[in-house]
Amino acid sequence: MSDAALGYRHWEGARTGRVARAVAIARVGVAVAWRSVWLRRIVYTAWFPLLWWGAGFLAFESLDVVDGLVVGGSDAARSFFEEITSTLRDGRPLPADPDSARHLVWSFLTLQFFSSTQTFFLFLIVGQVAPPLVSRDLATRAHLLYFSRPVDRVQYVCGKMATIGVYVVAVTTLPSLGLYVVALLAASDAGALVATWDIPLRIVASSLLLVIPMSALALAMSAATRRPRFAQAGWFALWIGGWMCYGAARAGEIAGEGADGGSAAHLLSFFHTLRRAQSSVFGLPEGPSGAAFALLAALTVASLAYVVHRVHAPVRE
Amino acid sequence: MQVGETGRGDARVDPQTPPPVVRLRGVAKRYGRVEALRHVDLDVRPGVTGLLGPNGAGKSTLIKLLLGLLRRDAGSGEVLGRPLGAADRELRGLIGYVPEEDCVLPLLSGVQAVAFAGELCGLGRLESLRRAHEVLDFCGIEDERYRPAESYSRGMRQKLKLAQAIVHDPRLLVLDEPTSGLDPVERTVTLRRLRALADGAGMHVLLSTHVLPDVQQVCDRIAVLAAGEVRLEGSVEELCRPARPETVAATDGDAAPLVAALVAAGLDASLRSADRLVVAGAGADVSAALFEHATRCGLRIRALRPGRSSIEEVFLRAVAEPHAEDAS
Repeated sequence: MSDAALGYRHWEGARTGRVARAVAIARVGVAVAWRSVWLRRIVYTAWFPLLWWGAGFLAFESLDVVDGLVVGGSDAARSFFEEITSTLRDGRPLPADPDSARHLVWSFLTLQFFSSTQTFFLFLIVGQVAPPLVSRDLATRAHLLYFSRPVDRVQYVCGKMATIGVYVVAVTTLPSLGLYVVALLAASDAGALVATWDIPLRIVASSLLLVIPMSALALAMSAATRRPRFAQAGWFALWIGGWMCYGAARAGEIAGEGADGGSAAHLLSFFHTLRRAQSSVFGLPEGPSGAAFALLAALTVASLAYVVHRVHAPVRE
Repeated sequence: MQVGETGRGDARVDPQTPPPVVRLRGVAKRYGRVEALRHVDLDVRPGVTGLLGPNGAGKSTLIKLLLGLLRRDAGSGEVLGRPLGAADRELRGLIGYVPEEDCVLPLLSGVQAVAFAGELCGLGRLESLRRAHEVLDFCGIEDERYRPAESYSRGMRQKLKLAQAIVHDPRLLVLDEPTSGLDPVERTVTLRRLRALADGAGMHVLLSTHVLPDVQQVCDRIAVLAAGEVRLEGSVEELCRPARPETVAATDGDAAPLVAALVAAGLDASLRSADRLVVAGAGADVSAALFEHATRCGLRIRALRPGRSSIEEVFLRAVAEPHAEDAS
């Protein structure tokens, strides 16, 4: 039987919308990235901190707050709680109102979960997922696969950002919301929901704050080269370099006159810029955050403009 | 110039002729100082059309313009009845494109790669998977469809690209060098598939290639592009027909005495090679004269056919023509 003897059949059917095509790009990106053994290990490991911070919520809910002081409960719970909230309390009492104290502690614990552990994992995860997303398409000229079809650059970039976003959500938003639910169950008090209803919204906002600038910047690095390894090296260098610059600047400030929250050193580091903006989202500002938000917005816009330009450049050749 | 106003003598609107699939009028495109296309007038008719041209002739630019990936600097046109440059995304949904490059997405199996192409064209997830299997069957990719596409041979990749291009059942299929890297058997099968798509499925095919025998084998019409302009356009039959009718004959021995005898008899005959001759005119009288004089010369006629140019000759003639502006 000849190869063409099977015949060709026409296809008729309803076409999906614009969003579905971006979703398809994201889904394929997620599935391809998930084949990396290292990525799977990091993602699984990223859920372990949930135990630590979950224990913090449970410890707090086992204690009582009287006039801003934690009382009752076991010594172990009290000592654990005091340890993990030492930077929040700094020797000061909690608000006298138990609901306000609960809101403050829950917000603080969630912020710490986000920025002290999960952001580190994101640094690793995005460093695994993002570098090949655009660079490999450029290297294999697979961009023609997208743009010779009814897909535009916005759908392409949204699909690629969503690929990163899925992993960000998997290790920050979902566990954070899980923590919140655990805390509500531990509180076993309807008043807890009334007092803390805004925390899930802050979690979502904080997740978006991570996803958008982080994925835009990571995609820009991926679009800058046809070799994913170079993009990966650039990503890690950005974080580690920023951290070192921040450390050096802070050391200089402390050795000088002593810095307060008004220092601009956080703008040298992507991690600290994110941390400053996130603390503001959770209502626990660590200093003026306007510059941090402005820097993140500017980075996002510039990165996306660069990505859009780069992905279309080979088509114009 | 508006679409419909033809600037070419051979593009008169005939009510019997189906409307062109692609109609370009005065289309120009520059890259900086380089004129990639200059005032291209082209009608791509239903069926299989070969787009020929030397390297740098502007074929890829023309294809990208049709796909709406590039903006033209001048001119107008229609693709599948839609104005060129408007609703590009919608138009791309009606076109299937087989690029020259591999464009393989790493880590996807063949069937996943085709299904993904279907989803990008707007097929639902399950439907694109079902359809992917259907077109992979048509393209002759069997169990290999479950292997990672980057492990495919060059020939398999060509088939995969064809499957990706037709997964959404396009009305116009544009192929850029679809037979490069294929062995002779695969090449023949691929060309038959293209013919099947055109004849059986009514798909319009625009085939850009350097392989001229492919064109002769599969194309109904050709357009020769050189230095950014269309030098020649028409049906293969028409273009390969010599300016005056002639008959080519092959003999089983030296044909020179036969040529001399034919000339003596008042026929316009000439020797093409030792055992091959060309006689002006066609028809029963020419054939009869040939056989009669061959018998007298003690020769036998081994082959007799109407004279026609090869596609190579047509191509080389078209490419060698001076540029219209230069000539004027």
